[in-house]
Amino acid sequence: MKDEIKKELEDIGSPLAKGRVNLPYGVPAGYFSGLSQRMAGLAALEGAGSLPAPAHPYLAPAGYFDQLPHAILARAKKTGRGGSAITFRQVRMAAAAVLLLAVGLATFTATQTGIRQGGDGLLANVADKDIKAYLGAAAMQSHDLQAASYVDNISVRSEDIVKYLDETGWDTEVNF
Amino acid sequence: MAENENHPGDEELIAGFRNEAGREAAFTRLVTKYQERLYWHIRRMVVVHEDADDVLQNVFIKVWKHLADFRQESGLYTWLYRIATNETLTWMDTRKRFAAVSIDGNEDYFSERIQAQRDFDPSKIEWKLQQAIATLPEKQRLVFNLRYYDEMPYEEMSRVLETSEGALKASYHHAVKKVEEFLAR
Repeated sequence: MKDEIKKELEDIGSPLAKGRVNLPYGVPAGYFSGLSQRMAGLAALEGAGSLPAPAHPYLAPAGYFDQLPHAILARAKKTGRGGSAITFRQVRMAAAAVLLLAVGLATFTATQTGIRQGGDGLLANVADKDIKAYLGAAAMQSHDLQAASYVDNISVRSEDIVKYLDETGWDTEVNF
Repeated sequence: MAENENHPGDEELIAGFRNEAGREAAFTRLVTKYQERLYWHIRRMVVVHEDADDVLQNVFIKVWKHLADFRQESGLYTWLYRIATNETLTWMDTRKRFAAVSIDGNEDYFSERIQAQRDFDPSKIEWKLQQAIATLPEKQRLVFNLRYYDEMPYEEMSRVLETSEGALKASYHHAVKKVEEFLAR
């Protein structure tokens, strides 16, 4: 072990500084004596490009590639010049697509109209007795709703409120 | 190293390789000169001889392909170690991916390979040390092996691993401590 390596291990306080521990691995007999020749042989194969080409296990039918251009050309001719022949099947597919589009548009228009009408529009379709039944179940009176509405949109002058209370009576303590 | 028939200098080897007529002879001498150092550098990482041999072949094939373009910005020795290190890490990555999808995983992959070696004896310090090194992260294993076994100066190691000397010293220090902890169990 070099002094430098040993001193470094001593500085760390490592027991490895006591002495070198050798590698326990073995190498097959004669491995290194023949290695350079083997490598030169491999390299020569690599350099000469004589390594076997990568192969795959698939085969094309005999004559496939010879016939392929003719087969493609014949098929292209069947479809007509510059475009494709329209078949009955394609017409049926187009009709079905138009029908689906129309149904979709109608549904979309109907739902969007309902949304734009908002709460009032929707409530217009609800019977009065159903609304009263709901308010009763929720323990609400119609004037509660009115009061809440006024408070939310308050734009009344104080003197008007005082005047109103003078006329109707100050039976509730109000703090402004 | 003195330059003679048996121990050619790197400059001589490179010049010989660039000469078409002497290419194969120069390559054979280069392999002879560096084969053992590179073999052991790889073997310490991959453990099994057959795998080390595969990686070493890949290294020398790369050398054959690229030595003519080697710009000598670093020494030949450094360049060879760098190729060997990269090939080894690539091989290990491939094995890790394979082990990751296997049932057992790869946690004890290298430890099992060490135990499968001929003459393995867990009571002997040299085998215990290998098992301890196998528990280190890849980069720490590289640093420990290059320093402890190859006695490579940090400056050289810095060029091989493209890492600062300070980081390498810290890495070696950590590796030594982990190895000691393992051996003390």
